[in-house]
Amino acid sequence: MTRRKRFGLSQNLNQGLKDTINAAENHTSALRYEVIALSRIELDPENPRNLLITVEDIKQGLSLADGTAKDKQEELNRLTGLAETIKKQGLINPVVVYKFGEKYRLVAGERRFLASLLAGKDDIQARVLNQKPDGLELRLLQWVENTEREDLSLKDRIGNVMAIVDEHKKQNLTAPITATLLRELISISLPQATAYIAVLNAPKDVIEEINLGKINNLDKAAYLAKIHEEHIRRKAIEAIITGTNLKQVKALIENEISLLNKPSLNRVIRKRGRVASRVNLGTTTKPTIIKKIIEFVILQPKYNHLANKFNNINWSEYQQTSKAFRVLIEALEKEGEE
Amino acid sequence: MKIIAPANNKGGVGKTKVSILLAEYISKFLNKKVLAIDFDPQCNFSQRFLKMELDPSAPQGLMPPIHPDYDPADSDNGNWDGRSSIADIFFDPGVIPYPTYIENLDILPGHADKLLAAESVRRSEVVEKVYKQLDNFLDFPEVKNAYDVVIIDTAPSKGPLTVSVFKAATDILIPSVMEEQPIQGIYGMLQLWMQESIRREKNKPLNLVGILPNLFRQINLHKDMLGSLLENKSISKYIMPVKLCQRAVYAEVDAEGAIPRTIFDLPDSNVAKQEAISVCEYICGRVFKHD
Repeated sequence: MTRRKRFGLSQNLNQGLKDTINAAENHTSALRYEVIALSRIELDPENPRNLLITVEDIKQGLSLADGTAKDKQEELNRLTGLAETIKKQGLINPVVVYKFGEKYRLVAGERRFLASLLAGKDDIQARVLNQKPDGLELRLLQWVENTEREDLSLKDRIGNVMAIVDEHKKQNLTAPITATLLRELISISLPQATAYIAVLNAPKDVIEEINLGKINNLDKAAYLAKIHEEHIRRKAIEAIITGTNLKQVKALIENEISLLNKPSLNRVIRKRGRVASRVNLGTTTKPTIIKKIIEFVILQPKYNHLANKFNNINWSEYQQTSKAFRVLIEALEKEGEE
Repeated sequence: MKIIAPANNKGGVGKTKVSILLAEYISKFLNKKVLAIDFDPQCNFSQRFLKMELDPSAPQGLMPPIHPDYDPADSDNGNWDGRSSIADIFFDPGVIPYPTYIENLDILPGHADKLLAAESVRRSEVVEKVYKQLDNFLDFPEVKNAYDVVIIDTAPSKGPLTVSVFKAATDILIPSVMEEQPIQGIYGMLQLWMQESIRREKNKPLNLVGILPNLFRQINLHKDMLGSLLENKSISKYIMPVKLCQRAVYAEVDAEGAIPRTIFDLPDSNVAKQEAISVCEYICGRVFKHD
């Protein structure tokens, strides 16, 4: 009797079939990368521009008659640097576009797009979305794009976070934005998220300095945002602007705050119920402990003269030991007053 | 309008047979208006319904016969030579479907030489010149108003013509023989489906009707291979619960002058007819399920 031969699909084929089907079923439009002719890409007129320079400026050169020529020239210089890298190494990060009729509109990557034009390229790598992302999705995409750029100022980053928070508010009228939520949305650590929220709610003087570009560090900004007293905050701001590090600033400010504090301003740690006005001495079932404590105290030269108070104590007896302890406390209180 | 296409770049698995069965079933039994399109330069689908002719300028290929509505004396003809094929959408906007022996069924036949010419464009032009043409054509109001269903027979290839069918279709099915190499062909087709699927917008998905085991024989090889596919959890849901077995009658009805001329004219007790009806019912159930 010949053994019946079992036929089956090869391992590779099995896996390949599985992977392909999963890819098709779980597709998101975000998985699509293509090389697109630069001529088919345009800036999205509905998105605020980051730069003054336009596609025409790149193609035809800056016109001297242009009032903004000086700023545009600076932008052009920076773009030229990027263009050189693109010429040598190519574009590492694809831009993000969405299909708009026969053309594609930029979601993120304005600088990369203009630099590619400047570099004389014909086409560019792009991640293609099938339709324009909605408000929140758009802001999140732009956030992810922007955080990969080191030169983004705190002002711009705060601007981005504010835009994300606003979009979120539009979609969820009731839910306020908390640090936990922010951290989930933009994948940052909880301390960072807390810092951003603090800065979003910062007092006017701090925000002004951020907008002027004088404060560029998130942690410093968050610290400043939490100082309530105006003139102390002003001192801290000045220290930070002159470049003092955060640790020193904190020490400086802690000092200021403690000088400022009157006793009535001291925080009292309140437990539930009545405010404690005396120390609770507790109980123990082991009188020998009390004996040890008392013996130790009277050994101190300072308290030698108290020894005679404890000569006739029966330490195995609870009441006598309790009394002895009370005697000790009273004696020490008396000693403390002298 | 539903656009159904059997596809598999492995030859001989029964794409044309399935196209024929679907075209006849839907037009006869579901009473829908069907346009059959032959996108295979071999023109077998066309040959089923029309008397295709040898192309004098390319004798190895077929071309459509003169259209029944062509009147050589008509002065409105312009340059028209009386023949029309689907290949004309690549060269000239006017196409005229041919009637068939079934009232609800029209056919736009292939034209071997022209289809091959349409396909052999430069890579940089293929998107504009080929990929979009079929989709644009099927989008014309004249087409959408005239037909409920389009059935497109494809060539055993993954070239530009087949890709343009993927871009135009609403529903794809993959007939296959249950053997190793044809099943590798399935893998290739699934790749095409996946790539096109992720480009589609949400309101115009490309539906995979399923994989149809075809030319099935009761041998261990076929049974085990089918079993193997059914064991693969990702693909098993796409394996159709119906199949077409290898039966002489399927080929016999295609012979010239055959009686009956279609599976569907066999007696109801005939196993082949029952099988064909089950397959068509299943496919139509999946395609029209939202109607």
